[in-house]
Amino acid sequence: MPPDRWFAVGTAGMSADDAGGRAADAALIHDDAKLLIVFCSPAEDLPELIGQVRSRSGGVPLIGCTTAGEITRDGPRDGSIVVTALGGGGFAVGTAAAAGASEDLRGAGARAARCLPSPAGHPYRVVLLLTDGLASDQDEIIRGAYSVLGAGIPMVGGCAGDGLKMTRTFQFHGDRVLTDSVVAAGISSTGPLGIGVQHGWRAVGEPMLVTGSSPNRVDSLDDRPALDVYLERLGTKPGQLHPEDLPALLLTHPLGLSRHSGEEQVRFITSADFIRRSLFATAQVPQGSLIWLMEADTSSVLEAATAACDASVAALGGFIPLGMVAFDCVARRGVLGQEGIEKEIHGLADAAGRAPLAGFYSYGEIARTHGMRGLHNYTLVILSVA
Amino acid sequence: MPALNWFAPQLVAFLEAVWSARTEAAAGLMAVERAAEALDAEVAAIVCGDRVVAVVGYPEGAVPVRELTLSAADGPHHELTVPGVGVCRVATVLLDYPAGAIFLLARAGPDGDLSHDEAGLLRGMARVTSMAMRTQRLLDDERAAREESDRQATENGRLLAELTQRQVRLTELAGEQAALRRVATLVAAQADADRIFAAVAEEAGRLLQADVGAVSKFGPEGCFTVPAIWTETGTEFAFPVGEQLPVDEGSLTDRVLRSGRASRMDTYRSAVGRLAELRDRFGLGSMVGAPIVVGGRVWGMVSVSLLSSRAKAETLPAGSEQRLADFTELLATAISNAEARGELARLAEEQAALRRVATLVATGTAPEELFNAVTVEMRSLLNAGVTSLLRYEADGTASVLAASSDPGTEVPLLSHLTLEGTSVAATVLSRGRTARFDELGGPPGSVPAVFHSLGMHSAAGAPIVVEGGLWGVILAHWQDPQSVPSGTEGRIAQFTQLVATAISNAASRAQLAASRARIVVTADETRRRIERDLHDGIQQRLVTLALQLRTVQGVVPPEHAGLLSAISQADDQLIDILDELREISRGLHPAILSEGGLGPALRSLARRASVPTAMDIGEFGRLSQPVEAAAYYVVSEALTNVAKHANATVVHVDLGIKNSTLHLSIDDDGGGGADPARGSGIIGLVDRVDALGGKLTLRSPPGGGTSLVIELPLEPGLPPVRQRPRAG
Repeated sequence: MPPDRWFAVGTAGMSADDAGGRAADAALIHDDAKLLIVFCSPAEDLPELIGQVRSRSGGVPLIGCTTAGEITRDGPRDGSIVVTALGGGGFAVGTAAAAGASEDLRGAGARAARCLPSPAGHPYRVVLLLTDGLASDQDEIIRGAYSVLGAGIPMVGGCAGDGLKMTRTFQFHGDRVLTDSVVAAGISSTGPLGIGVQHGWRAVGEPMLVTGSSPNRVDSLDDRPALDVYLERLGTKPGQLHPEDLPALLLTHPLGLSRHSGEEQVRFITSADFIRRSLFATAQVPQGSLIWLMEADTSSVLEAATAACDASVAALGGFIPLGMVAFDCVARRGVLGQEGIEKEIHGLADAAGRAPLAGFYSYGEIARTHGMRGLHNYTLVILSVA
Repeated sequence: MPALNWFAPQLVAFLEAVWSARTEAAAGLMAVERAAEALDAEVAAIVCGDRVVAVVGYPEGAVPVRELTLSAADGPHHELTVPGVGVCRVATVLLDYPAGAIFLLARAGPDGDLSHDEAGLLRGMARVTSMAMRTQRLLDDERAAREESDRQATENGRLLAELTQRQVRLTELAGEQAALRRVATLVAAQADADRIFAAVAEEAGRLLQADVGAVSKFGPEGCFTVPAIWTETGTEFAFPVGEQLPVDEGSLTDRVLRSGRASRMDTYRSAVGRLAELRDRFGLGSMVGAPIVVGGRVWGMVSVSLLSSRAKAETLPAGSEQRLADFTELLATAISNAEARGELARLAEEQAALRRVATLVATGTAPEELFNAVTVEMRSLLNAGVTSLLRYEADGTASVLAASSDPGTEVPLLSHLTLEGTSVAATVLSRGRTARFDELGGPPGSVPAVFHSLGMHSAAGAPIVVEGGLWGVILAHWQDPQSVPSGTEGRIAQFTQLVATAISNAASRAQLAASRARIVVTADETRRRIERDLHDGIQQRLVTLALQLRTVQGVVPPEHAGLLSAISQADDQLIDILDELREISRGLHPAILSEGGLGPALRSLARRASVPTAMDIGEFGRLSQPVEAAAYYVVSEALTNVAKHANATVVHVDLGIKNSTLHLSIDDDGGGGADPARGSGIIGLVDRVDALGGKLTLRSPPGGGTSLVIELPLEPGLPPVRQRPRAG
């Protein structure tokens, strides 16, 4: 007789024949799967890949997205597919997809969030959201979802990636491969679900006042062109900088937004406009905010990873985790380097004990447990499932 | 983070978000969402009677309307249980619009209660929400009205007029919002108070399309000042910014101050005195003022006015009072923040200056140096033209001991200036307390004449009272008449207290030094007397006794061998006793010092020292007896210490005179580690050197040898301090 709740992960290199099928086979360790979560690198034949998975799972609800790198117990990967299966009578799952998100981000968040089943005897609940990381204001998606779910339901998830090409990301729902959309899985469980969030970045120097911004764009800081002020703080000037050096600089020096509690929310700068001398961010940097330039080193980022993992396990209230899903900011890869991310993932695997681990490198992370804000950057979010 | 840093930007961001809503309902929803985000709350709601206007934090379709309306009616500081979260703490704020509505916020966790700053932010957000929703209501109505007008063509004319009027009001509201945002952004950027007031004056003037906009600040004693004034470009208007003006009975200022409400005055015909003069000079016409209420007190007033040079009948339009009041009320928080910051900065500056002076007092800085420091600090702090410190003399005159002024102005340090005429110095002397004057005048050679000749026209001062007696006065002078800021006397008085302490300390120090010097001199004299007694009395008699013994020895027959041996032994002992006595008398007060001076005395010490000692003694004549004695005993004690403790192979003694000071240094190459706290020898030397107003420095790092440096003034000068009998 299969267990009340189970969690398994299968993975395969995407260059192999029937990669989707192989990964699904490894994940489907029992017959009563309730949800499949698929993370894979961008590829030409995504519908075929999803078809391979569904050839094994049939009509089991499926969500997923493309990534900027995949995560399993064995370490970080590129060009692979990772399939996670949740199963057993202890889970009840509903899924939804909202396409055309950028026309109405708030509405898309709300539509996707209306998927949570509430059967009796399943007191633990979470909504897992996967969004298009290139859609403009991700905060609006969270606001829409919160308007449907309220304060009582935690949210977790990440923004889909495209291997840092920054052109197009894809989301999966059932047999559909979508873009510019929000997909969600509402999970109700008889066992606890724990969320951990940490970034490990710290503020440096004096704060700056955002004097001009629009969604996804910072025009001026302290009443001067934002790019000039930003580069000045890094000790350089627009004229002295090779455009090809910019991505590495942006990756390792995000902006930190101040919160009432004193803790910063990190904002990833994606690119710069050298004509208007402004900066582009993954999420809104509101006009009137105080912001700091942020920095990190390998050890603070690695410590944050372990801390996020421990916090998610602690939230299970003594239950042993069956498995973990990690949403890890792609910018952390840039800071840690290949060796660092190997260390990070092995640290996660150690903290997970024998529990399987799946995850991906994202363009933004979602975790909302207290208050209304739920979007993070440069952060590691862990969902532990007991 | 300081509250201001956090508060103002949050409010600006909130204002922008809520203002971007397109309907009243959307503005309400935007407000509750942004408030929940900014304050990390689980639930935020606007509740009006038994209706929930906007809410966030509950699952869709599961809003507990009755529970929320009851909770809102309960007032602030109670609990609300939110499904899936648990117990949250509730904060509520009453909204101006919708009438009777309440803004409710619930937050979970151990820090569920809003902090003081957060509660302030929530109140600000509630106010912005009311304004935005009211505006959107008008817009919604306008849309409805427009539809209605299409349907009812017959009523087009009437509706069109109404619409026009509303459109005007909408434009006004948008203008107010824009003005408010510009000022709030200044506050967020931490602009100084003057810049913010200037912005408020301009925004108010432009908003109401007036010729003049101004910010007034009420002072104590029925006065007010105008810190900022704005005029339409091209208008000549040399208003005396910063001047103290009286609040005349029946004036607009008087009405606003008394009632705490916005008021208008379409003519300034009844003004009298200084205000009438300003009215005639500038041609003030129709005027509206609204109070700035900070902390329940009418702090000041924002006013706008038309100039009478406009068409005769023109007055500010009806409703201007309300518009100005709305605008002003929203700015009160910003103004109070900016004002408080300015006050804090001023206080910090003042405290720093006081601390610097207090440090000088504590370290026993010479009075002249301290007096100079005080005048310099005060001049910069009070922004005065000249600051000075005067001592009252016994003959009823005053002397300038220290002064500070612009680099271009030289203040002569004159003594025995008379106190005739109208001067602060005379008033302080006669009344014994602080005083101020706005006009200076007096005959040549008097205190006021001196400062008047330096171009000064107003002054304030505070007495220096030393141990109950009036000792002197500190004065501050300004070029402009009537420019003495309120509270100046009190600020000067803080410095006079420090100066009095310093004078009193200097007097005590002088007395202590004199007493020590007396003790040292007495001890030296006693030693000299004992040495003389030894030399002239006991020593002489012992020498005589020894000679007599030798005589006896010569006449004793050789067969009395036992007796001869006894005499010989007694003789030897006598020689030993004589040597010992010589040693003692040398230690007490060497005759060679009294007779030969310091050079020969020190060289004799060096010859007798057990550690090889090199001397380098400069060329100079005889010095005063206490200085020679001090130097001699220092070297003597130091050489004894070297022999006892230092384990040194060589000692260098350098002695010279420079700038009327004796410089003496004794260095050895021994083990170091000498501790002045142990061994009374060094402590005795410190007393002796101190008594002469000198300085003794000991450096003795372990393993690095010992270095003793002494500086002794050749003419031990004591700080000049006199006590004056209490005046008045």
